[in-house]
Amino acid sequence: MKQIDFDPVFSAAIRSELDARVTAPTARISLRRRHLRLGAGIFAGASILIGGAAAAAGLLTMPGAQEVTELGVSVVETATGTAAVQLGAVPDGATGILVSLTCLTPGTFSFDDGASIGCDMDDVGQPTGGGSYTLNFSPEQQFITITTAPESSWTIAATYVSERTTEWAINANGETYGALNESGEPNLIAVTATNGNGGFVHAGELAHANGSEQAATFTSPEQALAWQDSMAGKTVSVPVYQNDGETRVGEFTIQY
Amino acid sequence: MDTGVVNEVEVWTRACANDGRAFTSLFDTHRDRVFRHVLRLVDNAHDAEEVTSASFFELWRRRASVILVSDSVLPWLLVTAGNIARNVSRGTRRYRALFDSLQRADATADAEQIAVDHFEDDESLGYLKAAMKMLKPVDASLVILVVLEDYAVTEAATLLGLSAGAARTRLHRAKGKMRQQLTEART
Repeated sequence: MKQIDFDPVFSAAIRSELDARVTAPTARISLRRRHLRLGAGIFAGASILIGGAAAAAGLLTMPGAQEVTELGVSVVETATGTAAVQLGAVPDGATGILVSLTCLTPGTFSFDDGASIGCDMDDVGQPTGGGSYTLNFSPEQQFITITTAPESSWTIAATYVSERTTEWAINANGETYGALNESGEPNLIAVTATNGNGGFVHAGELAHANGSEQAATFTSPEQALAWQDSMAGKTVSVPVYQNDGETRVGEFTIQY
Repeated sequence: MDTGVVNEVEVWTRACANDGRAFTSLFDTHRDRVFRHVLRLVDNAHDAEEVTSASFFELWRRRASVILVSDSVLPWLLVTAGNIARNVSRGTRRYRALFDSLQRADATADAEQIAVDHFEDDESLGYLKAAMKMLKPVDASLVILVVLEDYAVTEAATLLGLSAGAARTRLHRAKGKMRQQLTEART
């Protein structure tokens, strides 16, 4: 009987793809979604406001949120496979390029800085089938490149923007409050409660509930896995307050 | 692995903690065993390669629910590959774009022909494939693990979420159905 062997070239390609997926799981999640994964749990029916996301949602009044000003019009382009999109001259004051990518087919779509958005068959045509991302850029750069497999199709809308992170506010008790941003977390973190009310959770209470406090003490993957197992199926709630940190307006739930 | 003794539970734990080398070592260890198994169930070598590859991608994607049997991921891989092989185009759809974009050593070789040459040596394989497709997925998985791969019924039952007694009964009936199918096909 003739021996059939696994095609060595195909095998090597599969092997390196597996390696890439296992080693860099966050590379397939857009920046916004990655930030939302603070702990091991899922925020059930509630969400944390992140600087950039809060700005995108039009909540410009939230302290600590990023104020994003679009400079000029969006360039919209659709392509299949790897392609560069010309954006034209860089306006004064631009600090980044706001890119919103929609997957038209499954695939992995990488930006110039290596960040990428992955879509599978189930994502195409759904809200999960794409993402927004602000690229840092060098002043002379007038185009962005999306790298993907030859048969993967995508649409992007790209706009030069200037971004400025606003300061957190301080309440009567001297606590800072506002959205999470690149400088870290305020004492009171802006969230949307399960009842839909906007409000704030105490950073310490959230860290305890979402596991980041415990995670800081783990010294091995086994400990992390054991902790995850011990939490499986549990639901943890933290109270949501107004910006005074005292008046309850709802609760924030984390499901393991 | 300096000791030469590989504890797969440890490797699997490391892989789940995003250790790419640990995960690819599982691919290196089990690729051929899964491939040989799938070759019995599909029509050509290309399909077998894709089904095998898809089972490893599924191993990663569904890592939270993978059950180890005899401290190994192999039984889970064999069952998953068996399920994918039941409907190759549906089972590999999630990875279609990826597979099509990857290079092969002999892109021009007629894989179908290779497969036919191979399988003509053993015509009962064709009947086996047909019989496997006739069985319910759980029963087919039982046959794969116990009859073809020599795992104990109790081990297969653990993986498939059955009691040992139920697994024995189902296996007995599945064997009966296959025997009948093979007899009919030959007469």
